[in-house]
Amino acid sequence: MRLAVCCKGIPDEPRNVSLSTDGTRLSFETGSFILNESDEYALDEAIKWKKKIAAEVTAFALGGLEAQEILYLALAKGADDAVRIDSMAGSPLEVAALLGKAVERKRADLVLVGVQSADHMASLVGGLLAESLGWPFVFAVTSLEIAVDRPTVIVQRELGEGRLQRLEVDLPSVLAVQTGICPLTYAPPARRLRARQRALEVLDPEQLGFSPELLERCRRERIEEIMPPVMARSATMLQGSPQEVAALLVDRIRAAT
Amino acid sequence: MNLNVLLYLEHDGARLQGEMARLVDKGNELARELGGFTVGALVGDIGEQLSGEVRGLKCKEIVAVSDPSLGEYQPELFRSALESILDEAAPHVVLFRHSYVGMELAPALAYRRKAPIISNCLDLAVTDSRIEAVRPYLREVCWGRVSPQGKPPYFFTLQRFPVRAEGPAGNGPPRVTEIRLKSPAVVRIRCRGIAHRVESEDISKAERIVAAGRGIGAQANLKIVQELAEALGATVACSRPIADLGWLPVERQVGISGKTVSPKVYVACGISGESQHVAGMKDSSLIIAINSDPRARIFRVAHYGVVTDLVSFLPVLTNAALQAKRSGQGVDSREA
Repeated sequence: MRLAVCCKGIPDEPRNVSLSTDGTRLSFETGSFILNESDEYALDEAIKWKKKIAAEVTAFALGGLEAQEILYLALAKGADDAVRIDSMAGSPLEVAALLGKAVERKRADLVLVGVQSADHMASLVGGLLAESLGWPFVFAVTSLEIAVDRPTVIVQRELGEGRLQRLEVDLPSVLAVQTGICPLTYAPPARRLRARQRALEVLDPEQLGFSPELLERCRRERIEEIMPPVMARSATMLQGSPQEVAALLVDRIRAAT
Repeated sequence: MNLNVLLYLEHDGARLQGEMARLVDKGNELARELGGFTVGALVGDIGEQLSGEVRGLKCKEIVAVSDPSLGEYQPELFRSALESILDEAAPHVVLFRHSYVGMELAPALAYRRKAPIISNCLDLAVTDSRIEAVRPYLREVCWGRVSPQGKPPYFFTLQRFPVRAEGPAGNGPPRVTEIRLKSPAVVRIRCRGIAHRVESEDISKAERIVAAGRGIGAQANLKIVQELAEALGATVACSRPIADLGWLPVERQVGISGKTVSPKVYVACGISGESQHVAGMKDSSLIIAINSDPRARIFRVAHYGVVTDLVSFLPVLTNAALQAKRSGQGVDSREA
């Protein structure tokens, strides 16, 4: 059985954001790129099952050098191999289309993605990826059971407001994994160093059957302008000695109840 | 194709979920500006209670697929029913809540219709009969004004529904059209039951809440949060990362995946203020945010903010609360 995990590198502290004139790309500066949190849970869940049922885990990431770093981390955590799709595509449908072809190429049986990337918070890639593959999709999975001899998986998923649902899902399928599905593992520096010696498979969009024109057709949105966030409310920031601030807060709390 | 706005009426089988009446208000505002009207999409095994609630919505029309097989939410069946509703209503715009169910159904439908989808929107507006969304980018360092490109229907999921102008009162209950469920050819997902989280304490009933977030740093620091809660007569709650780490049980979690609370006082300790969390506490009467990061988004919803080191400040606040209690000023709401 082959498990595929889609990993996104996201900027740690983005700043000085600007928008390309065609409204398709945001440029920014950042300290570093980190593995998106819910993707890390997806990765660790896949690696947990690799150990239990002798599955193979392939990590996928899209992008340039920052994606490479994320894939080295995936290898250090225990992924068997890693594929970088050499594309700067940013819209969810473009990303899903490219990932779909790469996943097909690797003949994965189960794809795990995170529920949301912490940068753009769109939660679209998993659902679009499942449709592009024609596979079933479940969002917000909080537990997963895989059995070697069974063509289905059992999942528990959130429906919101404390409601949980158990589902049996045919393979192949795509699952969007919630944070907290398993404990996160730590990859020690020595293992991360060793992972950097490994070769990554690099695929470009053409190899996946996407000409620039075809990919362009997957882009169905345009950012017209960017602006600073509008604050719903601007908190009154309290200053002074800790004792003064504490006394004032206690006073406000008392007045409110 | 017309200029109507289709709204997915999300429910738990018995009651409408989320602020559905406000989503309808938002839909009406957009429909007026587009020159169409709102149509509610209702899917399920619709009983008396739910249909009564739906009749009270200010939609012009409802297109419903009601079938005993839809008693429990099942993504493939619900998607299939919504495809039939899209055929029937042929809307210009389709709105979903940015909820787990919305995040599951909306991209699947948009993909099948070869239609644009813009998710997690903070607002939608019509300018010169073109619809545009505002949504966050790059950890909410900026917002972007985004327009769908290509042919309608245009799909959106909405995190919140600000309404600029209330429309005229509706002319009576919506007209209901029922259509039959066309089951998908293959069903690949089977329901094995729905459960509710078992709860030892219901945080949604608390008058005062002290909530801990990732910013508390270490599990050992939960103690100072709990001491503050005790001094204030408050209940302890948390944001998702704290529950994920297993530091507090998941029933204490506030947010989309946890509880929605609106206490009189909400003290957020080391909570960054991601939209997932804010959605569950923004209606609290008094929100106090204490965080070491001056850029934390929680300060955008808080009434009062303190930028400080939690580990040194919380005990000071606890002492101040205890002192006020001793001097008979009734800080503990349970004594008041």
